Amino acid sequence: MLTIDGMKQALRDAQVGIEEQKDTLTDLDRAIGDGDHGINMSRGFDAVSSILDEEYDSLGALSKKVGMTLMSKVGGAAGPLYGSAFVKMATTFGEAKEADFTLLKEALQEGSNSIKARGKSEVGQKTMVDVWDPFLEHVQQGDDYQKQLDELVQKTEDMVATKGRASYFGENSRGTVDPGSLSSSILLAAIMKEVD
Amino acid sequence: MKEMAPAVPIHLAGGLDDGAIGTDVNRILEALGQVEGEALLLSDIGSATMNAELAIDMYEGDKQLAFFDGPIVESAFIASVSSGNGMSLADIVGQLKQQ
Repeated sequence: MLTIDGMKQALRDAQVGIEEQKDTLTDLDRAIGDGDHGINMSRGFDAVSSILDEEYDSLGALSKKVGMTLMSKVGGAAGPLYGSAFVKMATTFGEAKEADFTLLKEALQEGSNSIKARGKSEVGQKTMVDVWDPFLEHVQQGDDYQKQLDELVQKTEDMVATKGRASYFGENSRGTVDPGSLSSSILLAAIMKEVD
Repeated sequence: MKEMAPAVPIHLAGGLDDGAIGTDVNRILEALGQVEGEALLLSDIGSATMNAELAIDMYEGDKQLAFFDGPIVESAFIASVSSGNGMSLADIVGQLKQQ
């Protein structure tokens, strides 16, 4: 079960994970983007950390606050993407104080759909969608979530970007892992860890 | 644009609160909140475009708004001059689409 405290813990873990990988995220984004993904995600999740000490009545209320915080603090494209994912997840969670695997997966799937809609992107374009979509399509309770996520991140290395800033690099975007897919895997792994 | 269409109000909503590069949907919403008649929202690329679309979706006011995803300098120039000449928002968007 994912409780409100579990979700808070997941977000704290995600903040630590982002901080640990901050330089990697920035280096990847420097190679095929504008080099700000590590800084932006770090700023966004620092802001998320600071709202976790407040009390929340439901998973919906917490997720909505997280979404709004990411939207205003991240700065780059990851802001509206992660932000709208959490806001959409909040709608699925509603008043629930805890979520089982099925409800969490449903909420994350709604979040994934929101990322696709906001970014006008599909699978195979070397974006965070290449982690969210296939992960949620195949994941079963009790799987090795981290392993699945790592594999999906790795798969973006050989893709050519056709969406986002990396698409300007065309064929030269091949050979670098998509930074958004890496930050997505950190976040999703942290959340999935709390549901079992 | 101030020289060509001095009477047309232009609100800037780029950057973050602390002056960093990027866009913040709340700053865009704040600018939209200052709109008195109709408004055209323009962006450059990437997150700015995404946040502009998000702001339009989140806007709860009653003013007529439109977003145009095109070259920002040229679009802003055409739109401000046309607006100064009394052209409606719908006609301005129609004109931008023809460019």
